[in-house]
This record gives sequence, C-alpha cells and structure tokens, in this order.
Amino acid sequence: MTSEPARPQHDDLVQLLKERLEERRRSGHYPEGLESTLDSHARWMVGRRFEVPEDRRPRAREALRRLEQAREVAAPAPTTSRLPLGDQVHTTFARLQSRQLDPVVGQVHALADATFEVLQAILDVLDDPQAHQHADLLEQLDALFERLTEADRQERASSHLEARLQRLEEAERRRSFDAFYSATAFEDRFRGSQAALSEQYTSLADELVVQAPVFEIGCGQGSLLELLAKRGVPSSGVELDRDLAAGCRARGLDVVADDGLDVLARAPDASLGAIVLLQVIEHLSPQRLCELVVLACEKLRPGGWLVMETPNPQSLYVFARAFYIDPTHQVPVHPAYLEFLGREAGFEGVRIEWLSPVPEDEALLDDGTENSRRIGAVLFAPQDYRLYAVR
Amino acid sequence: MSGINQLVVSASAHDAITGCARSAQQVLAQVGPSRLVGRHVEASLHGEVEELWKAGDLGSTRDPIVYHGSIGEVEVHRFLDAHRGPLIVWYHNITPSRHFASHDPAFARLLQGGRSHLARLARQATGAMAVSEYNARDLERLGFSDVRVSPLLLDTERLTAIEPHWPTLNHVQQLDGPLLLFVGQLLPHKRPDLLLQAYDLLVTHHVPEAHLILAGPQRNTPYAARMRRLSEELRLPRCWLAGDVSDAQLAAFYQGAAIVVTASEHEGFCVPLVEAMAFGVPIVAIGNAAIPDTVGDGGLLLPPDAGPELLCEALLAVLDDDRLRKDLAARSARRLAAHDRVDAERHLLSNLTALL
Repeated sequence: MTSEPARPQHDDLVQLLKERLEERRRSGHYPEGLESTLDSHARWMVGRRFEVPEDRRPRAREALRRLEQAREVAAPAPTTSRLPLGDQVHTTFARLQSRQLDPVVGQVHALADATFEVLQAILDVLDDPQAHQHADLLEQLDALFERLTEADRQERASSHLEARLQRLEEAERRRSFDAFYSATAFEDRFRGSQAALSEQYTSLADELVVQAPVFEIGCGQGSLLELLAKRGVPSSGVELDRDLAAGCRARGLDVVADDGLDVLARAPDASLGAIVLLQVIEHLSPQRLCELVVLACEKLRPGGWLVMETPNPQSLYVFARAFYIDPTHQVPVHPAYLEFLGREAGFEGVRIEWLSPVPEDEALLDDGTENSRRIGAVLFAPQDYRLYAVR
Repeated sequence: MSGINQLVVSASAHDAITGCARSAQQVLAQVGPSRLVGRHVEASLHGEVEELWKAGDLGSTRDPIVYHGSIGEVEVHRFLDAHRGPLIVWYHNITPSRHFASHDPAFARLLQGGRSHLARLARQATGAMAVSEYNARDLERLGFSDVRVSPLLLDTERLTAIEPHWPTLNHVQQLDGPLLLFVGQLLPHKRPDLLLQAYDLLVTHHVPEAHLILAGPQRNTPYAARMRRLSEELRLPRCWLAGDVSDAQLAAFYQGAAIVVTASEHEGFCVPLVEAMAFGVPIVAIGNAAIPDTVGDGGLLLPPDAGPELLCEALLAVLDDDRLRKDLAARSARRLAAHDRVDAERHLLSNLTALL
C-alpha cells in the first residue's frame, strides 16, 4: 500500500490556513508571542519534553558543496594584450609568476582534494544508518537495558513482597493464640486428672508394647509416655507447650518442646514402631493433617502404627459438651475422612475404635422404640474415636 | 513444517496489534495448524492466546514464527534469540524512547531495548514486513532490507456493527456545541498537550461551545494527572478526559463527533483514524510519522511543524465551512477502502509465501 500524493487543493487549503493565521497575528487578534507562551506553560505543566538536537549534517553537506566548487581550477590569467609587445610582457610575467606560484597552487589543490575526500568520507559514514549500529555495542546496550529493566521490576516486586509480608505477619499475629493461663491448668481442668488419663490409656500402652519405639506428638503432661516407660517401652514425645514439655522432662521423660511435624520430619525413614496423637489432630489445619499422615507413613517401619484419637463429629453431644471448650480446636475430623486419608497415604490397614460412650445418666432413655434408637444414634454416639493405621 | 505460529508481546482484547494477530490467525489457519502465543495474556483471551511460559515447545518445533514487534520484552528477546526456525518480523513500530525519557524512564528503557533488539534481529530474521510504508522505512533504518508492507488487519465492524451505548449517544447528540474527538492512549508522544492548547485557543477565541473528548486508556497515571491539571489550568470545562471506554461507548463518540482530531507526533499506523473513516467523520491531523500513509487524501493533514495556532485554525475552518466539512467527511469515508480487510489478508498471504 502506498500513500497517494496529496491533492493540490489540500496544499492550497493548508496554505490558506497559514495565511489566515498570519492575518490574525497581524491584526492583533492573538496577543503577541501567544504560541511560545502556551508552549512554555505546557512545558512547565507537563514536564520536560525531549529536545531533538539540530541535525548539522545538511550544513556540512553545503560546506562540502562549496569546497567542491572552490576546487575548480580558475582559468589562467589572459596573456593577450592590445599594446605593442604587450603579449610578450604578459607571457614573460606569467612564466615568472607561475615558477613561483605553481608549487604553492599545487599544494593548495592537494590540500583541498584531501580535505574534500576526508569530509565526504565522514559525511558518508554519518549518513549510513549501519554506521551508528555497531553490533557488539548494540548487544551490550541491549543486555544492559534488559538488566536495568529487570532490576527495576525486581525492585518493584520486592517492595511489593515486603508489604505483603508485613500484612501476612500482622494477620498471623492476629490469628495466633497466646493465652495468659497455663496449658497445665487447662489440661487439669478439662482433660481430667493425671490419674484418670493414666487409667484411660492403660490398654493403649499395653497394645504399644510390641510397637517400640513409640513417638508421641502433643504428649501433654506425658500420661501415655509414663505408662510406656513403666512397661520398658522405648518412647519419646514432642509438645508445643514449653511448660508441659518441661514438666514431662522433670519426670524423666524424653520430651522436647517443638513442633511435632518438624521433629517427625527429622526422624530417619522407617525408624518408628508407632506414632501416637491423642486429642491432637483436631488442632491441626486440614493441610497440616494431610502432611502429617504422609510423613508418618514415611517414618514408620513396615507394620508400624499411626494412632490418632480425636473427638467424634458423628456425636452431636460432643459439640454440646466438649469440643468447643478448647479455643484452639480447628475443625473436627470425620472418621470416614481420616480413614480415607490413611488409605490414600499408603497405609495397608485402617481400623477404628469407638471410645468414651456418653454417660448413661446423660444419654437418651431407651424406651425400646425405633425413634429413640435413631435419635440416640445421632445425638449420643461415642464421644471419641481412635484410628489405627498400619503401615 | 506443520504451520505458521505468531508471537505477540501483550495480548489484550482492545489492543489493535492483538486484533491484527487474531485476524491473521484465521488467515494462517488456511496454511496449517497455527498457534498464537503472547508473553502477557489478558485473562479474557486465555484459551485463544497461549502464554509464552507454557508454550515451551514452540521454540523447538522449528516452525516459522511471525513476531509482532511492538515493544521490548526480556523474555520475548530470550525466546527469539533461541529460536532456530524461520522468523518473520511484522513491525507495528516501537515508539522512539525519547518521548518517554523524562516521563517514564523505565518504559523508555523497554522501548530502547526493543529497538536495539530489533536491530539485532535484522541478522537473524528470514524476512520482514511492516504495517505501513513509514514503518518499513523505520525497519530499514534498523538494518533490515527488503521490507514488505503488509497492512494491519483491521476490524472496524467491531464498532460499526454494534449498537452504540445509547445513554452516551444521547449525551453526545444533545451537546450544545460541536464535538471534537481524540481517540488514543494518553501518552506523551500522542501530544494531548498540543491538542489541549489548540482547543483552548478554539474555545477562547472562536467557538466557545465546542466540546473535546479524549478517549483512551490512561496507563501512565502521572502523565494523565498532568493532562487533567493542564485542562483545569486552562479552564476547559467542556473537555472530557474520558479514559478507557467500551466499544459501544466509543461507537457513540464516533457517531456524535464533528471532527476526529490528533496532534500525535509518532504513530506506527494510527488505528483510530481508520475507525473515523468507518464512521465517515472528518479527520484533522498533523502529518507525522505513519499518519500520512494511513490518511492519504482522506483528511486534512497539517505540516509536522504545526503548532496549536495552526491546528486551531484547521479545526475552525472545518467547523465553520459546511462544504469543507462535507468534503472531508466524504473523503474520510472513501479512504476506508484503502484499508480493506480482504486486501490486507491477500497481502499477508502473498508476502508470507514470498518470504518463507
């Protein structure tokens, strides 16, 4: 596609517009220097605009043209004369003159030729677009620009990340729970006494005798570990609460204060006989629970057990009485989901035990009807369940 | 060779280059299976335009790539440097960085990087096409030779075939004075400042009831803010910096406009002028860069050194002179034929056939 030449009427019109403008300026319609005032105002408002430097090549070309004209050898002075003997006088003088001047003129010519050639070569180079694009330099320039742009972008990204990190930290701070009361006091009040817990976990400790070494996550006051120690089962535990962990250590138990998953991750693969979490997984986020189950499968030796005890969400009684007492409970974990999780993580066998039946004096009275049986099954199902997953 | 693929830097729904690439996609599909890949892809185009980082196999196929050169982009440069198959550069122009040197240095560096990378591609490319004569000459200045002109594939029906946004249309048709319309991004090289000055002269000295709308994205926020301040300082209550508008609103603007005007200093093509032709609106422009190629005899072109006074004089002449206005409207409508989509598609196919 080529552009059509502008029509003559069009050029006439532009000329006419220019004349009208001149007329307005002359007649004082516009104040003097209007355009430059407007321009400087806009520059001040809009900011500096790039000034295109004057292209001085046309001037150099013009100088070159003049030089070329000047190089033309001027016609020698005429030697003819109307006076008698004038011709001979002129010729003699011309000879004398040229003996003196010819070498100088020759030098001037040579100088002019050389200057002309140099100027022409320089101008040709200046006019050649390729001459300004030294490939290596361009490449370096390009790389430099890319790095600068990248650095700019990274700087923007990092300040953005910093702000985001601050927001996240603030959100984290608001979400985290740091109670003024001690965890021991809470456990004593709501979890039951040490003696009651020991009794509750005696049978579990008996079962774990054949599963050494046992690792308990969230061991609390160490009831289970103590039972295992009495049975001579090598065992250790981890507890997030420093005071509880210190209490355990004071009683001679091998307990560290740390995050359970972090400690578990550091254990050698296939090194544990059992991993136990009693009333712990309801404190974990769904993501952490997934990570835990997969990690446990890696750390247990073949035949090892993952034991998880947690409130049973199928019993509505649990929600009325126990579950919401602990403000750090996240979500109840459904037994069907936990079983699914175990199997998906690669455990061979998964079995569930139902624990803590609702006390008879609080459960629905069984009047022998189907209705009371059905209501009882939903409202007063066992309060806890324990899942055994076998590696 | 299984097909010819295309690469754009940014793909967005309202962008002329993306529109051109999408139209070209239909043409290239006649040759073989063709992919359209973008470095930055707007969410609405996912599915139609692949993202470069997901199209890792594209470079290894050795299929020809048509690269729509419009700005510098580090990842795109890396990708092209590693590409070993045939490469056709289709040049839409990269705005000279000097326009942005003082307004947005980071953007200026991107533009400069794009131009110097393009100069490097001159040695690698199998062939080069440009959407205008002006761009072809620009590409030759960057070291390319034998650059063919392959016009932009334009879809003006996008605006003419839809129902204009009626409240907007209602508004512009009931204005108490003629409407001057500028369409384009609010960026330094489009010289909205010059346009505002000319409009200031027009309403101060000649046609106080004239309205001016500047429609187009305002991505450079500080610059847009300066333009707003300039318009406030000059006390131009009938000037509206409308920002990015929908196609339906844009159609309403074109329908209501007495003149489509631009003082732009640099254009690789200038699509809005062709849109003005589709609506038969008189065009007044300063004949910079590719604008004379695009407008031809379809509008009133002022010399590149025209200042606000001459631009104002031209606007006044068109508004005052019914015959001139009708003549310009007719010429504008006639000029649309030069940007015929079918012709452009034919050009594209024959150019690609010759180059590959």
